[in-house]
Amino acid sequence: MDAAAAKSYVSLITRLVLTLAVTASVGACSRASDAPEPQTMPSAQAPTSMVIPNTAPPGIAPESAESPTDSALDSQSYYRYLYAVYCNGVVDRIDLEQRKKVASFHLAERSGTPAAVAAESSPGARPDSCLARPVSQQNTSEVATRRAYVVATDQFYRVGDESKKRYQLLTFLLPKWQLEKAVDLGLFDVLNSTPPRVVSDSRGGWVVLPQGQSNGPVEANLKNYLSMDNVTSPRITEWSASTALVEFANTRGQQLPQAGLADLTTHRFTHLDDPPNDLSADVRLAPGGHYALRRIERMEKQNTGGGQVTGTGELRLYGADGKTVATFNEKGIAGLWHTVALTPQGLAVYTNGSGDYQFVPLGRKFEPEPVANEWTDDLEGTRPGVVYSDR
Amino acid sequence: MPLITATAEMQGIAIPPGSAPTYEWSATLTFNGGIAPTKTFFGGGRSSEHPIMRAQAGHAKTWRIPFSHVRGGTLTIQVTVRVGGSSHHGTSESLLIAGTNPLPSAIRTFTDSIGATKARFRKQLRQESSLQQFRPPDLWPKYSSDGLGGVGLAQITRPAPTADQVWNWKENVRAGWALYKEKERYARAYPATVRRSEEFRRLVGAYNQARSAQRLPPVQVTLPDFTDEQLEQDTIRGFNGYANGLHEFRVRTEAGRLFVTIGPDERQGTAEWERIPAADRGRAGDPAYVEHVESAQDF
Repeated sequence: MDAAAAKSYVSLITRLVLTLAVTASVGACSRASDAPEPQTMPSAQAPTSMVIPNTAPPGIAPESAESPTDSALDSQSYYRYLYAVYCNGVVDRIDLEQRKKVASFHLAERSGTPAAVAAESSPGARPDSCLARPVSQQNTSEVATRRAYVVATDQFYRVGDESKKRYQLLTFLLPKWQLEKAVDLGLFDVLNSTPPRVVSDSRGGWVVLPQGQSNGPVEANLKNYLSMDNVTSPRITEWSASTALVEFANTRGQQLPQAGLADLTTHRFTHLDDPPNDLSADVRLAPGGHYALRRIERMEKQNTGGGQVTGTGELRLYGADGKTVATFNEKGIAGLWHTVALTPQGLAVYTNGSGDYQFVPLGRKFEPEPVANEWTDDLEGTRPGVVYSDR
Repeated sequence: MPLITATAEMQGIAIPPGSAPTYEWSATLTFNGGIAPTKTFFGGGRSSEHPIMRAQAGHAKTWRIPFSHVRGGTLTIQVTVRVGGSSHHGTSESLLIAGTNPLPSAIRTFTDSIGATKARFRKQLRQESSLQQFRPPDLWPKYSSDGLGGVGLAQITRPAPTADQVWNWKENVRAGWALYKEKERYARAYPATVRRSEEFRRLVGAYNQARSAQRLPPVQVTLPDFTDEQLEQDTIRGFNGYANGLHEFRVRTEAGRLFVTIGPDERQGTAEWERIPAADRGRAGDPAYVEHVESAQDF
């Protein structure tokens, strides 16, 4: 039986030091046993990134691509259409001007022969891991390329005890979602990990990030930010422009799902107003990073026992100072609606996971800077990846 | 269980000659699915904790934490050292205990060992959870997106899952199989329930009235039990909660009239079961749940 060991050195209030020898028997704690296993903190993981060769640099359109006419488009126009890309390979095209879904298709139909994105074994069947997830757009110039970069697999299920699946980086030309290029990324564990996360590097290429490494601002750097009092376990969930949305636990007082905005330029941290309860944990960053929106949830008792966490329809918009600047009560999103995105036009977009959408105008426009996150999986169809385009 | 040994080291603290430090150890292991660092999708309002672990005061500067339950979350270790009339306290930080998903072969071995040998049950585990007790990448318990707190391989929802079912995949599968057997009993009893129902009697009465209008003798209509195939399919529908109060099958009618196959003596007739079409299932739940389970890959 293999053994793995990790050590965590712990600072103490006094001069007493605790040394923890953490020994986890891998065999006993993983494949066949009952037990969870000790986990070292993400910062302890060694980063090794893989450079993806032979891909078209983002921002440079080949001759075959339809380039937008810059003079005809202001930056908001690049965000006319939102493509919601679901893990089962379904893409919904949403016209944000009309506020409705205008088309829907499966990437298996548009990813070559044989299809580079696995088709569903039957409509509604759930794959073992995400079949398709777009790379987060980082800025307007990436949006302007009219390309979608999608991490995808042609394998619906894992095979036997093999925990890995092969993934490719697919480049699609928009708006037709015509497959332009496919680059092999290798095999990735999708049993105890997630499909690979790919980001653009500083040289205009692509890299696969190792598990646990962030391409956004690193949590460890937050320690030195101003106003980080009472903040523990900070975790960056989204970022846009020079702001990161950070979730954390408060070291004092009631245990609530706290969140704040970290200004990466001034190294200042701003706490968002407390949520009304410990259930309202869904906070999303607005494009540009100057606002964040929290969905208020409650627990409804069930006749059969237990309770259901469900949206009340209330939304709270926080400004850059962390204070609530507006409250919305939208009956249409009460219940099981999930946040897809906050758009530059000032819309909060929600899905019920069954192909239906709701749009809540937030009364202001945001900056045309897409919001990026590290999510790579969404098997429930409640937090699709997002691609913007003017067409 | 994880094996974790803590060691207390006093640095720069003078120990008077002849005195031996005493150590008092304790540890907590807590999980809150809605709050960092153990926040996980759909985990809001879900929490668990290991009973507090303590050691009697003694002279051992090391302590192997005596886990007694399969749990995960944030581990906090505390030690108080008393020496030379003074006390020193230490608290650990940032140690997380997360889960690891079992391989399909381990799940298969376990299901076989408890008599859960039906392929449809295994497929159901796959459709429910993608064969994951814990959600990657953080590997906290995998809760259902419907907010009901369904968790783990079998997405145990009602009754509310125990902490053992949340953290121990075998207990989760065991509970799933118990639920399957319970729903199988319901499914087995369902045809008799329908036979006794007012609605079925009304259908039979209307059928014979129509025959009478055609000067045909009445028939005694029987409704068969489910076939083995139907029994499993209805069981699976029950496992998913009979959304909208519907079973997988209903008595077949045509234009509102009972469909009966008349026997050769024209005195006996047999009604039929038909699958309820997805279009008649309403919006709650997954209308095609059974089809989705059946199309999933066995392992």
